[in-house]
Amino acid sequence: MTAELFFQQLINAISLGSLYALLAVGLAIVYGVLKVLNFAHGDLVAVTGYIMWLLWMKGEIPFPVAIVAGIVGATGVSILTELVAFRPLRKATYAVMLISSFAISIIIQNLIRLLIDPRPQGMRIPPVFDKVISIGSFRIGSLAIITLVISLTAMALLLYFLLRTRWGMALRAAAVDFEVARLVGVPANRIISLAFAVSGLLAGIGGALWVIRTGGIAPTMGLYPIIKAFVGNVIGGLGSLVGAVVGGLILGFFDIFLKAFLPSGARPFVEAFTLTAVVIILYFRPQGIMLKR
Amino acid sequence: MITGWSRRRLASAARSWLSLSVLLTLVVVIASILDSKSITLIVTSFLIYTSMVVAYQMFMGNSGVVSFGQVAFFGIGAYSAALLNIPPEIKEVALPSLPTILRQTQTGALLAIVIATAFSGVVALLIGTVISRMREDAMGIATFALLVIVYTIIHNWGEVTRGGLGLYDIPKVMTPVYALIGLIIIAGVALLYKASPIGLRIQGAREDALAAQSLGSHLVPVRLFCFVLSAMVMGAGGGMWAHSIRAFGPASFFFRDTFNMIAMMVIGGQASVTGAIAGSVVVAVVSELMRFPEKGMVIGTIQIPKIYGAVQLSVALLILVTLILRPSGIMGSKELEFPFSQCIRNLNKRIRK
Repeated sequence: MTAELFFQQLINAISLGSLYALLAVGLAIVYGVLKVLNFAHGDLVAVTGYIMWLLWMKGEIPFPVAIVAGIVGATGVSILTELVAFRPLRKATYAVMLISSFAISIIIQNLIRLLIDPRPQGMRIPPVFDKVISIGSFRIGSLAIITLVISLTAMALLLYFLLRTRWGMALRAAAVDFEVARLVGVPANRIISLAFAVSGLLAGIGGALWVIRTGGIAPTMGLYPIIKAFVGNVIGGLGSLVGAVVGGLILGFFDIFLKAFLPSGARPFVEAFTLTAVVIILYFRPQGIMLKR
Repeated sequence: MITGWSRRRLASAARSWLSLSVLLTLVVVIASILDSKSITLIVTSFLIYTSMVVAYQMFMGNSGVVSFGQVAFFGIGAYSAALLNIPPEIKEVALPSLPTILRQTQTGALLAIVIATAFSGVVALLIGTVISRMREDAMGIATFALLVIVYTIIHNWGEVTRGGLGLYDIPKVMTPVYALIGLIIIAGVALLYKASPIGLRIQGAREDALAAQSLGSHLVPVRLFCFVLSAMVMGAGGGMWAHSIRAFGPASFFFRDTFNMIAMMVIGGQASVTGAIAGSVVVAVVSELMRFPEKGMVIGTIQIPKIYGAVQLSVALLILVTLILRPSGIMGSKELEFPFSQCIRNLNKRIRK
């Protein structure tokens, strides 16, 4: 592999990793306040995808508008999820909430089947996203750059929100100790709704990028985003936002570099190799790489 | 490990085992009296599926750890049993690149299922050494990763599994009676495990991991044992299942069945073997009923349009309702126990009179 090729793959890896990180961070924010991994997070990607498809492919509404509507939709569904699946179970155990979010995930998938369309559909992607930018002999896809820029911007804004605003502070406080945060005046239900809103927003942004990357939608399309987000969190260490970002980036690296280095016969197994590598990491650090024992 | 067994628990497990066996046998007897081909098929597949739900329950119910990965062992068991018992002349055509020894042997169903059970256990031991060291909430995710790993391998390893095409011509030897024997054995193992010292240790860890550890119970080996045992029973169920269906592909061992089995356990009561069986009855009935609207129906002259996803939607709603109203499921941690000894005592009294 030449240095140029390596560098190109490196940018692809960081770009894909930042997309995974975006999805993982959304999951981590909800984990922070509720201490549960929300299984329906991946299906927010599907919600975004289907809203985009309805508006752009069926309604002929401009692509950027469809994207914004998709992101708003994912945020709304995320808040709604909290009301239906988590609010009635405030005192429940981790296992109960995890199963409840799993049921919500199935409900979203089947509502899509029922209300919109049961079959996978293709999505026409505007040509801006598959241009190849070449500088000398160095070539890189425009989508990789766009993904990278948008993910980094979103994460920078999230950082600003968490560190510099009143509500962001309340969210962080609730993540450290929910009960004490309530004692000093953080409203419990509102802060949890806020966490789900932020999480849904990130899932929407990530979802739009995901759909543009894959160019298609299906009711069960949330499966792979949720695996990436789950595994990103587990590698980084559950409950750590930095860990989620690092975990997402590691997954991106595994995906791109395994695809580049493995012989072509082994390529369909990339998913299995990536996850096996993750299992090996977790053997040595069961608590994740960013957390202490 | 003879020490530590509680006689009371053992007796109670034996009573539940007898009660369940009697009920299940009754189902099979009724089915054989009705003697209809479709009922025989339904009963067979119900019994086999239920034994896998019991296997799932052995891990999730006793350890309290949500697992999304047990179905992977269903797949491993089904594929290994099928590969061992498909007739050589079929394997010659369908799987020419299989190793010669495997291609030319046909072990018979029983041996195939036994080997499949052992193989599932070996795989579970490998992956379990990693998983059982993890924190409780991370374990669920790791098992989900396991499900995806196994599915990816089965789906793409064309030389051995024929990938998405699936395997065919597995001898269809399972009858309701064999399936019943399988389920009764599996329920017995599950009840015995629940009453055993090592089973009690993991139930202690489920209630309070810290307290269990402070009383000198080592969490990792106890969890590993539970995981491997559940996986082996799951593999046995997969082996039986493969012999009840002529052909299958990788799609049978993924998200849909994980969802179904989790639904059965949660609704029936995770901590109970009876609950697992009760839950699979409830979910099976609901699924059969909701299949009609999913296909679309005609009532009189009114054509009701197809309601896509009606089965999964109703089962998912049932899970939510159960979790909100009765989080421990129908049975909680109770087991079915007919008061046999009391019956015998009463009978004795009457005879003496």
